[in-house]
Amino acid sequence: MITDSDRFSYQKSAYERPTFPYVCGRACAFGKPCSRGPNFDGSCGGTTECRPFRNGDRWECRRPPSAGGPCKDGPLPDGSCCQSHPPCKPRPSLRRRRQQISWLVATFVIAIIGAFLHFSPDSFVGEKAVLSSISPGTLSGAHSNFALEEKGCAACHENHGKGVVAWANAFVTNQSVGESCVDCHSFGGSPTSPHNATFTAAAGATFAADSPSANVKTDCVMCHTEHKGQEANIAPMRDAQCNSCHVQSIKSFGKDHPAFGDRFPHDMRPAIAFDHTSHFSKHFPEKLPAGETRGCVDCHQIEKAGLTVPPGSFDQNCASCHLSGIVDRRLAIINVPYMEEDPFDPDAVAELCAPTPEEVELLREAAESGELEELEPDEYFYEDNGDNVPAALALTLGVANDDPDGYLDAIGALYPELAESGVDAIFDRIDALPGDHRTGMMLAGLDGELLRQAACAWMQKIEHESPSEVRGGGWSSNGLAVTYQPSGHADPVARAWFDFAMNAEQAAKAAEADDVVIEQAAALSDLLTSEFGLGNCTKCHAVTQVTDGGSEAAENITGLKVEWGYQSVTDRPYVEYDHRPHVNLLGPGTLCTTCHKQDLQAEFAASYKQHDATKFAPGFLPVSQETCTQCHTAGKVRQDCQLCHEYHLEPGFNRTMGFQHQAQGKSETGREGG
Amino acid sequence: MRSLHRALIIFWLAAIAGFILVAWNAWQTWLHNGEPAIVTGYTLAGIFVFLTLFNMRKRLSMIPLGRGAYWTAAHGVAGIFAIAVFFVHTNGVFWPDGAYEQLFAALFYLVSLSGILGYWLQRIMPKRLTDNGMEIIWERIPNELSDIRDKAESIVEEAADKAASDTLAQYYIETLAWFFRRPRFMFSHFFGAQSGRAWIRREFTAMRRYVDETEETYLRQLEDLAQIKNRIDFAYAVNGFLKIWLLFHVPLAVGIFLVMIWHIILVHVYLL
Repeated sequence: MITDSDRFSYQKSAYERPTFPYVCGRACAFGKPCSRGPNFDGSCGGTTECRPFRNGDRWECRRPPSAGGPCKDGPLPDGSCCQSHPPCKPRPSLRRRRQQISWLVATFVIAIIGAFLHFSPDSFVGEKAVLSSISPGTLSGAHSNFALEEKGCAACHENHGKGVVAWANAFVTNQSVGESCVDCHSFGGSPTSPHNATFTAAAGATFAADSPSANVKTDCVMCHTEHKGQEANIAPMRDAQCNSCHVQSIKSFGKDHPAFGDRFPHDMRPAIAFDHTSHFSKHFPEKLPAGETRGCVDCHQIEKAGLTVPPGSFDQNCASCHLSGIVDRRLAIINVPYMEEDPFDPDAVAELCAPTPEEVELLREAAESGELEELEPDEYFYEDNGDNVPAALALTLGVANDDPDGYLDAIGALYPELAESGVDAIFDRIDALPGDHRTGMMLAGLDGELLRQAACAWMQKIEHESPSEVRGGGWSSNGLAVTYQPSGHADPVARAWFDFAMNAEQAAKAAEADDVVIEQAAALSDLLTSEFGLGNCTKCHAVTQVTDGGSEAAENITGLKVEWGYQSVTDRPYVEYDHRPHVNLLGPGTLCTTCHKQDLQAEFAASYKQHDATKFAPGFLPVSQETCTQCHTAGKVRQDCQLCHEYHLEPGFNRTMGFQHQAQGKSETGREGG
Repeated sequence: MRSLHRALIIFWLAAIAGFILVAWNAWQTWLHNGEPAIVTGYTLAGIFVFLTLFNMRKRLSMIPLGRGAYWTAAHGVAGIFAIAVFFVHTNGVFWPDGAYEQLFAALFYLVSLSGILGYWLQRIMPKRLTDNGMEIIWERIPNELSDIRDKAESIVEEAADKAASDTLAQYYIETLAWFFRRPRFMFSHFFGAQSGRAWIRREFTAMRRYVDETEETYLRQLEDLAQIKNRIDFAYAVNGFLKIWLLFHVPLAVGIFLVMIWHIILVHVYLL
């Protein structure tokens, strides 16, 4: 008993074996356990108190001293113990129970995994996908329908549904989850390049070739991790990540962000040469009724505010003052120029331009009334006209417009052709000119009969009158010339002539055309861009040199273009700014001048006399960083990198993501970026 | 004891240094747009293996693999280390979204909680057992109770003979037999209450009014035996909890080990 000081002596104490899988059933019931204990297989080992030992011809008791030593009666004659007891029911030890429970838990876990494991891609689709024992979680809202598509999980995980062998192979090979992203997503550069940027030494590269990131290969899954729930933001990015690559580390926007440029945010002149200063100080006061003024939002559409606040259309903002300046600028393509002699063969003219029955009747009436003499051709018809050939015609014919001797033969050949084949005669000639011309559009609406009648009249030395008055613009004859009048703003024929003329000289040079052709191409360009040019388009629309990327150096210039439409900012691909929360801060339009202050001294209009869009004087003072840090600073409004900078270059989609609308309708959050 | 304390300090320093290293590596990997979960995940897997080795160590007691006390200390420190690395691995997410990862997390939290409970038990229970003043092998407690019970019954029989009265015998049959039958007041002993001692004092004080001087002597012997049995009950309760908590901790650890293997397979097949 515990009160005995020598209770652990070998004669009183049995050796305890806690690693045995079973314990005596009597002990479990807090009775007197037998000294022999249970057997290893779980059966009772205490039905007898010992196992007698045969020593010679006698059986000897082997009951241990701790159980009282050899018994008085000794073994029975057959060698069995004389002290027998009814057997107990041994119970598992704690160690054994722990093993049993462990096996139970292991079986449960394996069963759970197995029960929800499906290699088939059409199992556990949609919202049930999260139940699959291969799914670590729900896809984000934007991708939530992937499991519903034909490919399902295999859209991203190529080994999905391919069985155990493919799994075993995949275990030791690299996966390429990110590569499938570009099946749907597109970028302005390599998807595996940092910022989708180009790292070359060539002009136009996004970053320098010696950038530390030039040889870095990125993967979508580096930043975008999925299966974090439908509402999860799968494109989290911290400022520290930006700083890890960028050489210039920025602690915060308010502290050490590089200063904005001298002209920020105006790196390029606007496509439309709208001089805010002259309009506000001069034109509006002159044109508007007394007491009426114009504000920013009268022209700029704040309902479309985003990166920019685009102005309204020409019809909304400009037409009331500038429409008349467009429609009264015509372009002559053929005329009756000054010629010292008649280059036309009268017989040929008579044959080509035989009088029509109406003309015959007119002649008959004239003869009868004695007025026939007045119909005699004017002997000095070509000499009385002091005009040269128009620039368009001179270029078309490849002659100098101010050299009567030079263009005499060309006119002599063209007009009979016009009389014979109408538009084709001039169409073919323009079409043969070097350059990027849309001849069909340049001559759209030109009536061949008009040309034939005009050519015949002029070859017969009489002025040609249009058979009917032309209203609303178009091709017409005014007696000595066929001209085109724009029908209004954005006239497609006028645009076609400008698009051709702007690069005609360069195209002629490239085609090694005659000098006279090059000169006339330049003359046509000068004519169109002058204040008398067709539609006076370039009064407002900038003519800008086109480069092959990089700097605006002369060797990079590939041509000129007329900037026909309002162009949003494109030269800051990694900058994003949203005007909406700013213009509405204190009411629509009330805060424009907080950031955009006019520079009254700037010679804004002068910059449009040349073609380099980067050389210009903004009509506004630069937006200073201090303007932003008034609010975007510690403790006030966000100032993290991603607020104003976007990681990707021109992110977009390769295919119509129609199915996304439904998903996005359910959840508008959790899909920033990408 | 001092060497164990020194070892514990070393283990903690190693764990803290390891955690700082893992966290710093994860932070740097994340900064450079890498996947920190690879390193943290395999670190966690390594810790799990180390924690499992503790169980192996107990099975291989014949091999000199270091003192069990060191292993226990290292096991506890590594468990805390695992909890810290786990949250670095999950990027602070407490409850994941997928069903099997939820099973993973649930098992991890249960293992962690049972481990913390076990660590707490092992910190406070041995001291209480020492304060009990009685050293006894837990597996022998049934035998000891049986001996005490036999002793008590022999005292009652002797009292009946000497005093020619069945007062004590009746009292034993009606009251004390219940107490000596098996361990009593288990939860009271575990939580440190004195319900057993109060019960003994109350019952024996009440009985003392009904016995004569001869029976008083035997009643006192019975009370001494009851006090001894009460202390054995205490040892049984406290020591029992030290053993029973492993019935939760070890099987859950087995479960988490299996889910971990499945997790590694999936990560390699579907991502890496």
